Amino acid sequence: MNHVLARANVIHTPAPVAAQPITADRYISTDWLAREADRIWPRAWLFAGLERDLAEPGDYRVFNIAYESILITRTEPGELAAFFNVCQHRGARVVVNDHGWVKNFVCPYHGWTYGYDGHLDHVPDPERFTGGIDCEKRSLRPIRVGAVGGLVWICMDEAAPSLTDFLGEAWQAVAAYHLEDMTLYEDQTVELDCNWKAVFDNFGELYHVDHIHPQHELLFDCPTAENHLFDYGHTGVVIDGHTVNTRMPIPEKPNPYLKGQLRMFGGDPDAYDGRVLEIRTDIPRLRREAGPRLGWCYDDMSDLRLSDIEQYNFFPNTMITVQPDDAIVMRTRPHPTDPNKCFWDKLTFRRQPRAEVADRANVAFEPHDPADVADVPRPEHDQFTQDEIIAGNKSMTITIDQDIHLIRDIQAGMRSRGFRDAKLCDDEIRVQHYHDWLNHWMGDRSE
Amino acid sequence: MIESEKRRVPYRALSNGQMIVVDVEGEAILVCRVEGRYHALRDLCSHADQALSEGRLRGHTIYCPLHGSRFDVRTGECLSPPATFSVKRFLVEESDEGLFVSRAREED
Ligand code: FES
Ligand code: FES
Ligand SMILES: [Fe+2]
Repeated sequence: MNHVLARANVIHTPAPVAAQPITADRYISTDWLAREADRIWPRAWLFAGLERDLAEPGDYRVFNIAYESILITRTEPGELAAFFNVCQHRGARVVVNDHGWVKNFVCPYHGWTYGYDGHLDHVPDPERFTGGIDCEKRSLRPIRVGAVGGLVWICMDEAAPSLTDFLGEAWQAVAAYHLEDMTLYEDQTVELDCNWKAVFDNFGELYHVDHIHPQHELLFDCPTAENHLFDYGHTGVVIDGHTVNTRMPIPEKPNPYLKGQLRMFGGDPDAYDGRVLEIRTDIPRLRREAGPRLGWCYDDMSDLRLSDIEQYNFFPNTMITVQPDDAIVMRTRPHPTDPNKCFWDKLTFRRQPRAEVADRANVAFEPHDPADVADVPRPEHDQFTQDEIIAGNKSMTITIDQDIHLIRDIQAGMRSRGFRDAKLCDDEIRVQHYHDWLNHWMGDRSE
Repeated sequence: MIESEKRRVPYRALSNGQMIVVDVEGEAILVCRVEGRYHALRDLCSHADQALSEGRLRGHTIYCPLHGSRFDVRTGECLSPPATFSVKRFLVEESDEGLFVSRAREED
């Protein structure tokens, strides 16, 4: 007889408004979409790019959200800077590429020229402006920008809290994994026929996992996961890893996935016959012992982090999954005009093994796969439609492909007269917390 | 095609990621080396009157310093707006006497 060791939901900060039913309008109405563009996107800190893509002064990246286009760059003194990508002459886009390097930001329309700090440095034929031009007033309109863990965030609201206050406790957990030291392996965007929040909701609950991701029962114990609810509508979940779904009969022998995880860190799979649940408790020790030889340092990682997996959703649209040696940073963005469409961005990171770690521990460096040590060039951004995933031409991992197969049907269902509102289970508490905060942001927020 | 002058590039070798400009019959030609191979393009953006050699070379991509169009140095292909046309490509040869670039357009 197996029993589920349910873990409690941890409420760090309750939502500021009472729970409301989650009705279809927020997923399907253009009115909602337009109000989000006024109340959500210009007021929250948004994940907008990677610091590594802005290494030199003049490197830039453009981040598009709803109908806004944001230009992010690095100035000569080496600071990050962000501006509305809007020329102060007549409103053209100052840069028309999504990334690159330029000597100055020269508007392609009439050649107004701005420095990396946004200052209007040059206007062609200034004598044609009777009364002159006040270059200070006509410089690019700056917005707030900051970086943590190698991720760049922007905020269009001067009155918003600081980036670290906004990300708060949930970020403290992510920070422990040092994303800034991981290598970017993949940069993908899928265009999907659903509202951006339908993707976000999908990453706010594990209730669906037993049903559409059967492979997970061989790796994680989702039913006992611990949900965390934070300030500003952020949420998290901590899931036991290196184990099996304890709601199912516990197998006599480790399954092939667990065998692989054990072997990776020098463990003997046969030693776990009849004691499969002890793999998770032994993995931190095995990992610490094998880490230096494999080129990974786990000195400042807790035992729980060495066995488990954590996932955090940052209000309003960023989802981060972390494990000691890999991470996924995802983001969902609305289509500018159609509530039934969205963009889902996925960045895949891995920690490359490093010889210095072995050297420091005075052991021979034996990376798990010598190919993992090779330099990885910055991957090109790959954008495709859900149909390419469904046809099997593109993949974002088995798990995410499984979600994509299902998610446009959810949108279609919510548009039906046959759907009234969602009925959430206790494990979907993160979804409710997020939507309560969303209601708060969509209202006038006068507490 | 008319035989045109082959011009010795005043460098025996460029290091990877480096570029130089040579004048061949009055035309400025950008010569660069990436991953051990030499490439040559007309040193003029196809969008406006701007030398590409004042931009940045990263991997096989050159960034125009003016409005940021990107070009593939292997083909001259335009990779991003506002430019829309490719940039002319030239033949570069390496021999014992050095590096030579010719105005003859390279055949594929
Ligand atoms: S709109 Fe930019 S220079 Fe005229
Ligand atoms: S001159 Fe090169 S992009 Fe405009
Ligand atoms: Fe899923």
